[in-house]
Amino acid sequence: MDSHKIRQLESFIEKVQHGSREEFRGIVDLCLQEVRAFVTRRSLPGSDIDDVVQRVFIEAYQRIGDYKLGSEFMAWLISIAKYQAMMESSKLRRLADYHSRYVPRAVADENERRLSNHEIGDQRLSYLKECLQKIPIGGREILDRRYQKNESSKDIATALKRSDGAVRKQLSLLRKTLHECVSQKMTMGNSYGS
Amino acid sequence: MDRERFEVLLDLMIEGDLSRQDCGEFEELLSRKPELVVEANDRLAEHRLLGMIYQPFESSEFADSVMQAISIEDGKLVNTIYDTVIQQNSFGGGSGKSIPLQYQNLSASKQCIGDDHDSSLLSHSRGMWALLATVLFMLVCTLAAIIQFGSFKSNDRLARIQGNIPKMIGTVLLSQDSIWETGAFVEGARLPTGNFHLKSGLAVFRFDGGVEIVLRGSTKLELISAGSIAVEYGNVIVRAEDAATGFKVITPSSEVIDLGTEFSLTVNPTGETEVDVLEGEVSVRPLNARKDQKKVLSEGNAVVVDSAESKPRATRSSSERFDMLIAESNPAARADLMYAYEGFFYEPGPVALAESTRGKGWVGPWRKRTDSEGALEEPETAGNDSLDIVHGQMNVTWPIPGGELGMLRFPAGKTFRARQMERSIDLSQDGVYFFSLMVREPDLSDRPAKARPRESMRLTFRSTEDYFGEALSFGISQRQNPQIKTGIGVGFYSPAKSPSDQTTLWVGKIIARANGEDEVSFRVFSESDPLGYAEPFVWHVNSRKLELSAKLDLVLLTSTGLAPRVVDELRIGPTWRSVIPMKEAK
Repeated sequence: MDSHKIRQLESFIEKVQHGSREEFRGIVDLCLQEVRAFVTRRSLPGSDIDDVVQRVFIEAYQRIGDYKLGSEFMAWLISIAKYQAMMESSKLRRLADYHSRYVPRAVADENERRLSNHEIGDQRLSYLKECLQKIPIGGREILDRRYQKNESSKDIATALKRSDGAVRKQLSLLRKTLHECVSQKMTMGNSYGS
Repeated sequence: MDRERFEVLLDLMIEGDLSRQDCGEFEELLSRKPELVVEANDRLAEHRLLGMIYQPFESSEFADSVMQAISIEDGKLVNTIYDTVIQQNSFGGGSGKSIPLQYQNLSASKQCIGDDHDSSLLSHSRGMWALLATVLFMLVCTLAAIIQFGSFKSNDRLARIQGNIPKMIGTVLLSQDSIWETGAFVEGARLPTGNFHLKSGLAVFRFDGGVEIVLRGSTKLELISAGSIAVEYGNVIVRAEDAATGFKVITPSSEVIDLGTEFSLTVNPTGETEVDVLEGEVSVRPLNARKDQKKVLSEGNAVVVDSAESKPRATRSSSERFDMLIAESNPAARADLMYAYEGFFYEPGPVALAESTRGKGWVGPWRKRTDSEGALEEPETAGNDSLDIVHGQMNVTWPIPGGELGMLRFPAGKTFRARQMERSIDLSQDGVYFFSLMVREPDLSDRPAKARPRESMRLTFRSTEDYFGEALSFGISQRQNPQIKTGIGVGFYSPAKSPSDQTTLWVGKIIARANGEDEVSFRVFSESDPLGYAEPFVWHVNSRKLELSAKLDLVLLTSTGLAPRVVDELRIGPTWRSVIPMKEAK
C-alpha cells in the first residue's frame, strides 16, 4: 500500500474511532482486495469466502478502538482474517466425512499451521496474475472456460472437440506451470527482500 | 511414481472429485512424503486464487453489504450494552463488558453507560430510587436505539431484547392435506426448532444441512437441530444425500444415525421402533446400550427395537420409498392460490396500455412510470404507449395451462412497465411469497464486454406509497449474474452466469418476518433445468441479514439493451406450486 493510501486509511480509521460509522466504508474499499486474497488463499474447499471476509470487517469495526493509529493496520486486519479463516476451517473439519471425501487431514493441518504462524500476506496473487500473462492463448482459453465460465472438463472437451482426459491433463499441466512460475517469483522476491 | 500419483490425486482434490479411496491414498502418500504437503497447500491456494482472478466480483456491492451487516451488528451491540448494564444494575454494579471506543461517541448511549459507571445511586440498586433510575435508563436507551437504528423493525428489537426469536433450521417443502395440532405450516415456510404434531395428511421438511424427511400423520416429533430430531411416535422417512450424513433420529427406545442413505422409521406409542433401510446404511442403537453397541444395518434390512434396553431384532423390510410416497401424494400445480397473474393473452401487435387489463389480481392496467416515479425512459421508447404483444417467440419447456399465446416484447432501448397489485407483499408481517417470470434473453454471447447500453432485465417490487424507498429487485446484472437488490443500497449477487439466447424461468422467494431477518432467494432456471414438486435446495442468490418492512404493491418490469427481449407468465403467489409451471391436478 503506498503512502497516500496509508494516509487515507489512517484518516478513515481515526474518524471511525471517533464514532463515524460511515467512514468505515472507506476502510473496506481500501482493504477489501487484500483481505479477500488472504482469505481465499487460506480457505479450504467448501468455505464461504464472502461470508468470512464480511465477518473480518465486522470484527474489525467492532474492535477498531483497540487499533493504535500509526501501527501496521493491514497486519492488524490480517490477524483478524486469520482468526476468522481458522474458525471457518474448524467448522468445515467438523463435517462428517470432510477428511475422507474432500481434503486430506495433512493438507488441512498444514493450512491451519500457516494460519497460526506469523505469515501476514504474500505476493502469490500478483505473481499469479503475472504468470498468467505468460500462458499461451490456447491454454488461457482453457483456464478461462474452467475458472471464469465455471465449465467442467467435460464441457470444455465438448466445446473444443477434445477428450475429457486430454482437457484434464492440460488443466493439470497449466496449473503446474503456473505454480512453478509463482514459486520462482516467490523465491526471487524473498531473496531480494531479505 | 509417487510424484505422478501426487499430481493425479492433487487434481482430483482441486476439482472436488476425490473418492473416499482416493482420499485415503492421498493421505497415505502425504504421510510418506511430508514435503509434498506444503506444495499441495500452495497449489490449492493458487487454484482458489485463480477463481478469484477470473470470477466477476462486485466490490462496491460487497462493501455495501458489509456496511449493512455492520449497521445490523451495531443494533445488536446496543442490546448487549443494554443487557449488560441492566445486569450490572441487578447485581449491584461492578466491572462489566468494556464498550468499544467508537460506540462511546453515541451520545445517548454514552450517557447511559456513564450513568451506570459513575452513579452511586445505581450501585446501590435497591429501593425506589434504583427502580426509578432503571426505568429512566431503559427509556433513554430504548430512545437512543430507536434514533440510532430507526430502520430496524421495532418488534424485532423487542424480540431480540427478550431473546425470543426462534432458531430456524429447515423449510416446509410440501404440505398435502396436513392437519397440525397447533397452527398450520405453509409450503416454503421456515421451520423453527420445537415440537410438532401432524395429526393427519403428509408433509415434507428439508433441513438446512440437506436432509429431507416425509412425515405421515399421526406423527409427533421434536425438531432439535438441523442435524437431529426426536420422534415420539408416528412414521418418518429420512433421506440424506452423501454430504448430509450423520443425521440423528432419537426415539423413546433407540438412536438411529444415518450413514448416507434413506430409511423409514415407525415408532408406536409404546416407543417400539422399527427401522427399515431403503438405501445405503444406518446405525441403530438401543437408547440405553453403550455407544459401541450400535448395529449397522444395510439396504433391504429392517429391525425392531422394543425398548431402550432390548437388542434390535430382525424383521421384514416393507416400507415405501421416499419418492414413491411423494408421487402417490400427487403434488400438482396450485394456480388457484396465485395472488397475481399476467399471461399477456392478447392478439399479436400493439395493445394500448389503457386496455391492458387482463390477468388476475391487479389494480388497473399496465402503465408507464409517472413523472414522480422518475419517468426517464430513453427517447426512442418514451412515446410508446402500448404493450408489444408477440406469439411463439419462446421455447417453453414447462407446462403452461391454456397454451403459450401472447408474450410481452420489450424493444431495444430502455423501457419501464408498471402495474399495481391488489395484494401487496407486506414485509412488515410474517408471510411467504413466491414469484416466477419467463424471460427470453437475446443472444449475448458475442456482445463485447464494454458495449453500451449494458444489457439488463429486472423485475422490481416497489411501494406505491414510497416509490424510492425499500424495494426488492430481481434480475440479471450487466455481467449476466443473477442479483437481488433492495432499494436501500444493499445487493446480493451470484457468481454464476445466467444463460442467454434461451428461455429462462426466474423464480424468487421472499420470507417476510415481523420479528427477525427477512430471507430473499432467487434462481434462474435454464430450459434444461428440471422443476421439482418443491423449491430447490440451491438458489443462485440468497440475502443475508436483511430486515425490511415496506408494503410492496407495485410490479415494475425494466428492460435495457441493444436487442429486444420477451417476457411472459408473471405469477405471484404464496407457495412454490402456486407459481411454478407444473402439471395440473388430476
